Amino acid sequence: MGDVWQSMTGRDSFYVKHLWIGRRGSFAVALLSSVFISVPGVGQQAGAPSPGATSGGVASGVAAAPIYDSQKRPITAGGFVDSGPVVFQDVTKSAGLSGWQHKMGTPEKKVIVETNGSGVCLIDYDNDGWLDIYLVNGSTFDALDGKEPSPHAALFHNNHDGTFTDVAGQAGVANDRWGYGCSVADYDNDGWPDLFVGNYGQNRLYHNDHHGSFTDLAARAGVQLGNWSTGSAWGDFDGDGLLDLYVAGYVHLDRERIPISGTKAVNFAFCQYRGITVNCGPRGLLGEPDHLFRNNGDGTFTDVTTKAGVEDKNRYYGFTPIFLDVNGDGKPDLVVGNDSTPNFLYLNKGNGTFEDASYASGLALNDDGREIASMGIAAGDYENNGLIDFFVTVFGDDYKVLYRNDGKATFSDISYKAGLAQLTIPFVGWGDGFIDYDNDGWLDLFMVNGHVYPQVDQHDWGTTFAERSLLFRNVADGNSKSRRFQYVPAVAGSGLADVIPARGAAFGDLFNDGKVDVVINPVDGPPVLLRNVNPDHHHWVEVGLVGGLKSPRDATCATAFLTANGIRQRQDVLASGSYISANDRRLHFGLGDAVNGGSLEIHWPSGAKETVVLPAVDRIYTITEGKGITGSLCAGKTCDEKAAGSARASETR
Amino acid sequence: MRLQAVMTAFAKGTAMAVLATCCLLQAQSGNTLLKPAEIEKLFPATVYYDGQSAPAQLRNSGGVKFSDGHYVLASLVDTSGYSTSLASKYQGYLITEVPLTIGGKHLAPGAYGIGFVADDKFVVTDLGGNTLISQSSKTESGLSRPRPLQVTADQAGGFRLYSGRRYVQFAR
Repeated sequence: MGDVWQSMTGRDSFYVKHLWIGRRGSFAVALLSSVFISVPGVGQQAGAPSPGATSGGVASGVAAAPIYDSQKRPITAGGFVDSGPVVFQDVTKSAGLSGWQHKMGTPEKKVIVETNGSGVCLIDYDNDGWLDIYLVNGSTFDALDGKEPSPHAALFHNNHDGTFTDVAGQAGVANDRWGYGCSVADYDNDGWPDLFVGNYGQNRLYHNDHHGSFTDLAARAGVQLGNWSTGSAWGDFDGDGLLDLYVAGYVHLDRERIPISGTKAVNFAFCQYRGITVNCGPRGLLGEPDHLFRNNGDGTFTDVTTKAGVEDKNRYYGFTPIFLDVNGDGKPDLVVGNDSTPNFLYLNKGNGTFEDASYASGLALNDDGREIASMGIAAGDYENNGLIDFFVTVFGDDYKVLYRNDGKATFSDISYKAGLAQLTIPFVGWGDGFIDYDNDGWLDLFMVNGHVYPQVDQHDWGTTFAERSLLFRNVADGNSKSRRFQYVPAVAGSGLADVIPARGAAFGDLFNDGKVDVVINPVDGPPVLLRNVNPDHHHWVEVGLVGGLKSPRDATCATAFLTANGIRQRQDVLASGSYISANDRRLHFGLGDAVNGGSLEIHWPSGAKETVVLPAVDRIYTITEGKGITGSLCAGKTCDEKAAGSARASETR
Repeated sequence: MRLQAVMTAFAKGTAMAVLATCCLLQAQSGNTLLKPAEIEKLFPATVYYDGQSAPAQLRNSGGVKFSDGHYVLASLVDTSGYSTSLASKYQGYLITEVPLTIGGKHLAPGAYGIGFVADDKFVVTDLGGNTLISQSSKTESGLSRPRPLQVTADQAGGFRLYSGRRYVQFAR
């Protein structure tokens, strides 16, 4: 372990760009002088968690020994190198995002509803071919009581020039409720993406009115609920061509019985983390059940949770649900990440019901047989074997879990073997994604981090409220066919060295340059936009899918396999993911040095299969079910076929 | 490839045979292993220990109904309200109507705290948090799909109380 961290931290020097101190909620950007120190080793190593241990009300391992860098900074907020490839650049300010602030409760985080943070959704709401950004905001008890203005969500319109403008007010999506998660789908098949927002309070179903504005139709649709919803997912589980909605519930929070340590609301229990009093839960608190809503096709939905066999009887603490085809039978299955309780995997039986395969699949628990505090879920085929794998972020003092798909909906936790376990133990993980940041054709991993207890900054525990992100590169595991992940050092001053109390994160090509960027929604502060500036010159293709008459029009849960450059990659159209967020719905494929766009085999939700040859690289294609390529963008503009043809000829000569 | 398939079938067959043997042994002795759904009807929703009550995690429970109708039940507990030092050894709750031997040590009928702790130890404490039994636990590395807590039959007789892959043997 020490050696591993030394390789992470032991280049030349360390430097902190920001130090975001969550204590008392002040966003203190302490720009430290550039302190360059020659590298010693690192501190103590964290031990592997043992079964059955818990921290506070959250599932985790035993308290790990702290790890420090040479400047005595906890590894969660330090360990930077001063040279090396810069992969991400923080362009938040220049992009115009820094003026918006997330706010969730008070800085002390006395109640669990104040600390979990919100999601972020990438949505091309105006269908101009450029991703816009929806950032969910939280709220405060004072705002709920009318004593102060409610925080607003942001909808940042993409200006196509690297900048964004917040249009949430005029678009009618400010929410003004205590917001948590969001998801993106065209639930009425009108060709325009809609937005669902899960709240503590009533939810929003923002219908896209096609003119830059939305109308909240949640009440009419019957999906408002009313206590604490978090993440949501969309998928056509019954094959009628209409997208259905799954809404995860977290804790049932009663304003009259706020769960504060030592009070009657928690049976006079003292809620502690490493011996200090912290906010209570989720364990010990009544959960809020999940719901599955069937789309009736007339703007309304029917709650079919029990009928479909996905009843959350034990009221687990749900965060991130995703509909996608796990077992390759062409029908969307449902995976749900639950905090400190077993995860769900429901396999679609094709008759309007699901089979609960949570334990049998191996996804419910980690390899030690422990429940984990699932926050974010990355879904992707990191081995390029056609099977969807999952990477699940969890609490600190615990390793983050890579579930490899062994086929037939069974999974193995191979976190240690893949190189993802030891390094991730000190961090409290949230949003995560499988992204091919270097366009080499293999999915890498990105995760954002931040603690839930601001009190950790007052103790010498080797962890911090604000934490840095982690990036891992997918590499071959020796001479074998298997893959492992290699830590990518955070270069001081780069986006990977941002130290923030991150929560939601979404991944997508915001600049239409073929590189996957990251938007982060930290708790109690401005968002962070990390632009992918990795110095590779690899080629790529992206594909937006449009479903035909028997598929959902936005092709949610379609699966596509691109054969190019000697490998076969899989991508899925997903409406949700990461931590209660939504990524770019377009499929992204890195091609390495290949100059051939390859052949794309599409498995449409209708069951139809179609193969389309992509004529050129470095383009964003639109493919319509049964019609082939119906559009293409080059550098964000309609491709000039003549020029593209010349360029190709020139490359092949 | 064919050999692998044969080996896989053999392994599955062996596992089934072991499982069948365990079940047969239990059926012969008239003892019944209990699942969480059955324990939910018997086990208190919250349990008292060291000055506090805490919810039992009945999804993670197991037990035995003996042939004479007596029970031994165990469940994990949400111990977030306890100090770290106490929570480290109080992870679950054990209720036994009959005297047990745990690793050769005697345990009288009653309610207890239990925990799998550091150094491969299993501890039983009284409701005041005092250690009554500290016994070495074993690890079954090859156990597939371990659970946070489960009770199984031991082929050598008696039963096993598991936390993940760690376990202790107990018998009446």
